[in-house]
Amino acid sequence: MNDPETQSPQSFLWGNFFQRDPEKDIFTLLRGVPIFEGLSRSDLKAVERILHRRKYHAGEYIFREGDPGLGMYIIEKGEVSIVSESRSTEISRLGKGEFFGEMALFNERPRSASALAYEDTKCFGFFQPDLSGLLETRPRIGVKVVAKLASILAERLYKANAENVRLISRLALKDMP
Amino acid sequence: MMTNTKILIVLLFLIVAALLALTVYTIGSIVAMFLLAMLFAFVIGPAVDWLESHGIPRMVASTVMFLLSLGAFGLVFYVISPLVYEQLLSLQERVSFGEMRKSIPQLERELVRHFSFLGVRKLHLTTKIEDLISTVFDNVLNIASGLVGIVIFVVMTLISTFFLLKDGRKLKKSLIEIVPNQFFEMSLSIVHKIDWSLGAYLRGILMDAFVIGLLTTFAMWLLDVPNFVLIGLVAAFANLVPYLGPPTAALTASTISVITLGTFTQVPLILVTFTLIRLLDDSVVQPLTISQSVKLHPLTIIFTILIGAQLFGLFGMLFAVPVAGVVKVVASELFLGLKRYRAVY
Repeated sequence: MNDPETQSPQSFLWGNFFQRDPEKDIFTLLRGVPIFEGLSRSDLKAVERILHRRKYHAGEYIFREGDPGLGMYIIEKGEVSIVSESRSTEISRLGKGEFFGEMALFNERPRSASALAYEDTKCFGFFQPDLSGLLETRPRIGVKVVAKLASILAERLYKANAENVRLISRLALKDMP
Repeated sequence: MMTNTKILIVLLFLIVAALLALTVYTIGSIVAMFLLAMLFAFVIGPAVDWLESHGIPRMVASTVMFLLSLGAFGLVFYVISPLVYEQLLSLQERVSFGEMRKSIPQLERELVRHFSFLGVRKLHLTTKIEDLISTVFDNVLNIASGLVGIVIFVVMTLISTFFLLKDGRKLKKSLIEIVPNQFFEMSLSIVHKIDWSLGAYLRGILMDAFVIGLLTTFAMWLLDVPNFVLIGLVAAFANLVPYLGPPTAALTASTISVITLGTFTQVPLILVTFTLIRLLDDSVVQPLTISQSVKLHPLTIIFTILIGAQLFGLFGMLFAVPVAGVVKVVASELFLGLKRYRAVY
């Protein structure tokens, strides 16, 4: 269907000059990221303008454990492995549309794990200075993003608390005579 | 032992420094134009951000603020320049024809009478002051003769300012895009911190100079010192040079008063006023405008001024300390950034 030889001249021209490159159309991808949920197309356009598009080869580090945290990444293509270098273990493997490092948007505490491109990967970086800039110049969008981030982090805290309670009660049961 | 990364960073740093030095040496005026445009963009930038935060597109916000600033500058120039020109002319007339010819010999006699115990006999003050003033006026004329060059410089600076206001962020993003992945986060963090600190520092010193210029003009007007607008301008520019600047401005005001009036009566009041303005600057204005972390050591300031004077004369002297401040801000943020990312220890 996309072969130029089988296409009519009109559709060939249309495809070459007017159709968007699917790789460049990142709005669909961003819409799927919980942090940007509920943003309109024009809001997403403003967000897209401040994102940094980066390419990583397989085996290349995106960031290292212990580096100061600066922001988060959204995977556009490929796979990223989150590894603990101190314990030499893979914590998780993330794919297209997933994101990591979002805690670093709020403080510069050292990264708790490393992010490694498992295969050739493309990511969008969203960083503290850009979030501050968004809050200053487009506060309406900035607040929506921060509120979403807060809700995601609150949800995680809630789950971590529940897990804590579960572990403490298991320990208490073990200690019982 | 240094790792390959550290050697690479040191090498890159040296190459960048050498390239910068070469660029400044060969195309100094273009670099100066770009730096001036950056300075304007740093000053006007927050107002553009503010307009943008109220829903106005960046392009429109930049155009509006650019035109408003241009208008404000034009208005100030329109109001101030005739005053300065008039005061310069009156000063020149007094010096060349009028009161100075009568007052200086009288002043010289007074000085010889009071300081004869130091061996003061003949000072030739009239000739020396006339020589000095003709040199200053010649310099002003030289500057005016290069008017075409100045117009091109100003127009290009204004165009660059507009584009830096409108597309500064895009430019920064494109620059960061070319950084290798290994140094990407570090570069982004350092560039942002330099941008923030530099903006705060430049806005601070300009605001400080503006307040001091205004205060001095007002105080000199109250004291009925002649050429008060001229003295205010000198004080504002001299304020860019710590330690040496304020005494120079006080000396200029005293000299103008003595030359014009032929008496020392206003000098004590002028000196007291400048001391009070200095105290006010140190205790109120500077803490509000300039970050304490950018303060330079007095020895650094003296050597910086000497180097500036040696390289670029009067303008070098005037702008040496702000440039040193900029270098300090950039270097310290760069060093802190490299340290945080463990590129240096």
